[in-house]
Amino acid sequence: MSRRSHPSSSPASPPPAPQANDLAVKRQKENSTLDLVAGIFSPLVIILFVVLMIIGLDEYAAHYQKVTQFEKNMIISTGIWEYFHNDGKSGWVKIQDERCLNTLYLDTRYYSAAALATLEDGKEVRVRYSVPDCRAYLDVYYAEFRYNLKGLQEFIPLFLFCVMVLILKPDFLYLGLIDLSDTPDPAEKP
Amino acid sequence: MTLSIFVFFLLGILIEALLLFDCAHPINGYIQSLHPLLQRIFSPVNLAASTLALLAAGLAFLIRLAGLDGPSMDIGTSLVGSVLVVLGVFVFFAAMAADLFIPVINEQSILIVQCAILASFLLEGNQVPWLPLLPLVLIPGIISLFLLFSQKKLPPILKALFYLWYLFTLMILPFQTGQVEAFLHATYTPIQAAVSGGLLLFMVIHGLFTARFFLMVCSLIRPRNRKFINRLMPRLFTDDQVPPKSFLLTFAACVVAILLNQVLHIIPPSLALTLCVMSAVQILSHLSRMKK
Repeated sequence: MSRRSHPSSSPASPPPAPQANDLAVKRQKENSTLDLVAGIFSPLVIILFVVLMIIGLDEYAAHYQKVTQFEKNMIISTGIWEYFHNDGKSGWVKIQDERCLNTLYLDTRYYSAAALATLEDGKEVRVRYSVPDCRAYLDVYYAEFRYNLKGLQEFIPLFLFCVMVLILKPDFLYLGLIDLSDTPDPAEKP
Repeated sequence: MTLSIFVFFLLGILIEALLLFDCAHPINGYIQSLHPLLQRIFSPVNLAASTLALLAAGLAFLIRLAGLDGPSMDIGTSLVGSVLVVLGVFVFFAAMAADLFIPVINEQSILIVQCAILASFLLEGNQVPWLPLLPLVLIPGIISLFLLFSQKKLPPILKALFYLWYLFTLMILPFQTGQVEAFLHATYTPIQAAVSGGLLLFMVIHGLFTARFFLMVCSLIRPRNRKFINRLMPRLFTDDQVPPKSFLLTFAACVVAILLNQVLHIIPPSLALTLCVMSAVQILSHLSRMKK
């Protein structure tokens, strides 16, 4: 009795398992969709990255200018820490200087928790300030203000988003620099 | 900045654009009947730059003659603002979507940049206190010295990392020399205005390209993207070195120029240092291309 052979079940090339095949096709579809989305967004993301970089540099330059200006007229003195303002971002220091109406404003956002923990109501605190600005900076923790780059930390998630998109589709970055067609370069190793 | 000074500022930008374009895409048209040295002196770019300088001088003279040179102008002035916006848009696309102004470099160019920052560090201390300047400069300096003497060729990915480091250190230079502050507050003489214009263009183009190249290097995490950098690096970073004699001559010329400026006070010392770095990078790019 001869066995009937089914055309699809030849012993030479067994068909791939249907589930694995589906999975590969699905993954390929997902990849191409992701590539397409990244391809659409990548020029905008490049511009966004540069704009963020410019804003970051501008913030740094503004801070640097503020520090330089402050250090030109800086006075070091001892005052009394009054209290934290309700907003939690500032406080007041009592000082013997009529030009500042005996009170200095201290922006606490520049300092770490360890630095702020040293401030207690009614206790002496050593500060640096300038007139007529009348803003105080903690003397011991002055470096925390001087090298403060906290404003730039807000940009990190956006920077990462830009990098992620361009890892997926970097073609636009090479625009005008190299031929983007897929033909291999003669100098390139296979 | 008055109107006539602004003309010189624009002149610096235009001449630098010409020089950078010539570095990236050599402009031919040399006068063949001349001696090779004279051919270089009377090259199309030099002739165009001289013509521009004459035109700018003439225009500045006319502006003064017509009495239009009165009030001081800044970026808020409509004329200055609109010209700078047009230039900014052009430079943005030139750096981000084209290959117009980026000179090809080699290890010697990297070495000169590191030496300049090191010299500034030794003379004035660290002006960018949040950066560990010394290791940042010494490491690429030592690597480029090693590559120079060993004649080793780096693979494209390592070259890309090294090139990115070079771009970062190049961007530190104006902060270290205080040039950034000078751009904001300076009152210029015509020479200072032209030099500052040229420097501004050089730094803006390299700054934008640093952002672009940083993203390129980040994209190398995915192996599929590495084929692009293999094709790009020979365009940006050549293995051809300038003969040692020419390199030392360029280096010595920079040192002499800085020292002479120190004596004659033509431009501020920080401007002179940055100008020498910019010129050395372009001269070495030219010389390495001539060697081919």
